Amino acid sequence: MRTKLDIVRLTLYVTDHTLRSRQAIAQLERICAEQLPQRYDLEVVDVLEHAAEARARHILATPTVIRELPHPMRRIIGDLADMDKVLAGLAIHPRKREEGT
Amino acid sequence: MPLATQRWIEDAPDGIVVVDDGGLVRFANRASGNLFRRDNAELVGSCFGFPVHAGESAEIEIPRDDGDWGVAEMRVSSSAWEGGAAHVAVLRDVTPAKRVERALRQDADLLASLVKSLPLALVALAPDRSVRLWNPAAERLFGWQADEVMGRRCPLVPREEWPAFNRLADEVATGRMIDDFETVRRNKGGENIDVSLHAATLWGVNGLPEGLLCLMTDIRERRLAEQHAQLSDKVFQNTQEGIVVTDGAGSIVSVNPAFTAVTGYRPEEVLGKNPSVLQSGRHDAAFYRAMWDELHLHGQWQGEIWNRRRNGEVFPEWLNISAVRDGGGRVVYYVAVFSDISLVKQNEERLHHLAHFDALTGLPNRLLFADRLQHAMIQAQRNGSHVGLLFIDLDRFKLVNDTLGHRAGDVLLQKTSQRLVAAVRAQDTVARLGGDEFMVILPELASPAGAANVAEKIIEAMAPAFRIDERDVYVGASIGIADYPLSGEDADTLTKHADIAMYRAKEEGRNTYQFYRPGHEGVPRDVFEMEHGLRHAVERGELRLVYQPQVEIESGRVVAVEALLRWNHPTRGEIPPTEFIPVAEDSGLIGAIGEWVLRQACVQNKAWQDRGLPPVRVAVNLSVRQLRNLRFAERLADILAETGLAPEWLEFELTESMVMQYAKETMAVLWQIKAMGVRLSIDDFGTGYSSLAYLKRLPVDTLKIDRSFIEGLDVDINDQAISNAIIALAASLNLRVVAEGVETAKQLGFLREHNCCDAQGFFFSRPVAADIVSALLHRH
Repeated sequence: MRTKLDIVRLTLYVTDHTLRSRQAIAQLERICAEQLPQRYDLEVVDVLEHAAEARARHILATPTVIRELPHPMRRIIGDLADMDKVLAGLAIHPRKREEGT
Repeated sequence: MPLATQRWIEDAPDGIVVVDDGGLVRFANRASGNLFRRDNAELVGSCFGFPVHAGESAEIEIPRDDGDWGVAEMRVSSSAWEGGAAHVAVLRDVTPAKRVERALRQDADLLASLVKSLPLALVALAPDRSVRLWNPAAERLFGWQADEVMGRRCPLVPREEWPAFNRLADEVATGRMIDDFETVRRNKGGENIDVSLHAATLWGVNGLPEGLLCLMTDIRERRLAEQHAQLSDKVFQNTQEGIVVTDGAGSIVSVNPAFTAVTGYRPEEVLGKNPSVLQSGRHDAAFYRAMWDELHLHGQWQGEIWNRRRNGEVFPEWLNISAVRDGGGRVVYYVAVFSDISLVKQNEERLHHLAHFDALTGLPNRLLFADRLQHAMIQAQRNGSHVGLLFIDLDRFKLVNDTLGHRAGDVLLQKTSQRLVAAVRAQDTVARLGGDEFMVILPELASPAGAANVAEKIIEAMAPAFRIDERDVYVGASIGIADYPLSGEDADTLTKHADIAMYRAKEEGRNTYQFYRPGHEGVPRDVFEMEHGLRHAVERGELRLVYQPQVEIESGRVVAVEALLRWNHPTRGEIPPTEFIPVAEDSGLIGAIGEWVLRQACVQNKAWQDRGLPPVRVAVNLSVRQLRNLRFAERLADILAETGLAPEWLEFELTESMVMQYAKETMAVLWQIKAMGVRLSIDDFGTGYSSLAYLKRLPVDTLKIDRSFIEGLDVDINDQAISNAIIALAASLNLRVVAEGVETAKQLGFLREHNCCDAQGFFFSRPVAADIVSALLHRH
């Protein structure tokens, strides 16, 4: 049985639909699907389209990923290509090995 | 940190940001403030995020308030800050370079998409003629996929086009562009395709030519349209029919040479004007309104209209106007096609006059007489008056003719008619029925006795001598009188009774008149018995067909045979068709009999053809009842299919009176028959009230001059004139003419001289049995 606490909620801030944004979205989705199957919630926000929200959350640059849940919040910025670095930056420890049993 | 170092960091051109493990900014230099467009103080303490990168560096985007964004290259190194782990992010603003890159990529994308979606075939060739570019339109037009031809020698140019293509390539190499060069290219299926080619040099980035760029469009449809337009133009220029094209508002935009030939107006005199410049003033506003109503409603109008030539002459034309609409249903053009029918009209009028008046005396003839008599009877019936009908025969005319000659006889007839006209009232009609027989119609008589007064006056008027060829000639008149309604209630009966009374007057000793009195009628035939017999005639094999040849006058060759029905009655012997056909028509038996005749004629003709005899048409007489049968065309098709006779060897003969009387209802069937390829011929032509307007619209191939005109050809100038007019009329309508009832060489001579085409009659052959026809045909 999985509790609400198990859910990892992420928000990815990107700029427009540039090639880099598309890559960032694809990379993060892949990481989530592989490492957090069934237990993640990913929202993608275009900072140009939602400028007020971006300002309110002090998004200085993109791609920025905020781990909203579990608390405390963490945020990373930069290239999302390296899965391990992304997971480490977001302090997510996949339970894959534990769940594999 | 030494101050100098601090200053150097502060002034570094790249942004330098130190963040702690939680992603909070602990230090930011001036350049980073500029990069993020924030105060340094504001930056410190804000959350930048934990910097991650995959390779040596990462690119990040910095959104701006104006909706644009900058790009920075971020290099990260680990460090320490105030005792804790920290990360130094060096941010280099690469926005301008990225902008250029972005613009270049957009240009390249646009170019690629343009080449891809270009509806024209685009092919670029390297100097060695190998394919460098082959877009989807080229794939569609020529059939080869890009990967089949890329890098290979271009397969498009057919061998015979090589010299032209080499010349073109040489020319292009000098820097010239080739525009809309129409040539031929070959597709993958080996077909030649007409294309329009645009070619230019393909310039490389170094400014040197790198090959040949070709744009091609399929112009096969354009070619077809051009050919079609050329053909249309040829028709437009050369047709004998005048053509006027106006725009939707009615201004003339084009006329053809025939228009000028007919109307006398040159194109420059009418272009831009309304066709009303041609109006003759003969038609009222209502006429034109009806014409436009029809045009608006059905998009078409046709009819006879009088217009005015440039020289003021008014002429009749047969006009057909069609509206040409665009896709939205708006009229963009009106096309009017007309033929000058003044010649046909003249013929019509001449024929009408010939048909109604006697050429020798100028008096109404038998036709007009019948018309006037009918009219007088209707009038009398309405107001209760009487009509007197006088049948006048000259007593010694034959003697004059025989002793003084035809010419003297003609003069006598002319003078007689003058005296007759002078002797009667203005409302009376004097008519000449032929020979020395005259009729007088006396309408609106209060009593029969009035007719006697006129008869006496006529006898008196005829008494004085006629001065002919310096001789005094005396002729008397015998007059028979019939009274409407006392002696008969229809024209035929009245005429017959007046005739009978005239003979009684002659018997009474000539130069006198007699009223008709009943007592000498013939015995009525047993119609019922005849009908009864006729019902079984087909199954008992009492009916048979005989055939009378139609001969081409010029060659003497038999070209057709008319099938004629014969009935051999078991007890009464041969019964003439004139007796049993009316009975068949009245009883409805004509349907079955007509079909038997038609089938029999087809079977026989096929049999002749199968025997290898020269093919001839077989002509079959049609009755109204057959023609009014809605399924007639269907039955005909069945019979032709069953007998195997090709339709062009069958011809139907319809009497003129029948066609005219039932023109409206039979027109459709006649066209159906015609469409099947069967020919149509009008029998007894010249005796009915022909409307030439109808005649023109009927699908007729042949006119048969009625035998009554041929009979009189030797002696009667009326008959000559009428025959001649019919031949001329047929020529102007492009119809074949057959003279019926030719019996003498003299008649034939007249017909040959006047270019009559074919003839039929005892002079050539009586109607004969099928095997005799075989023998006749065999001789050719």
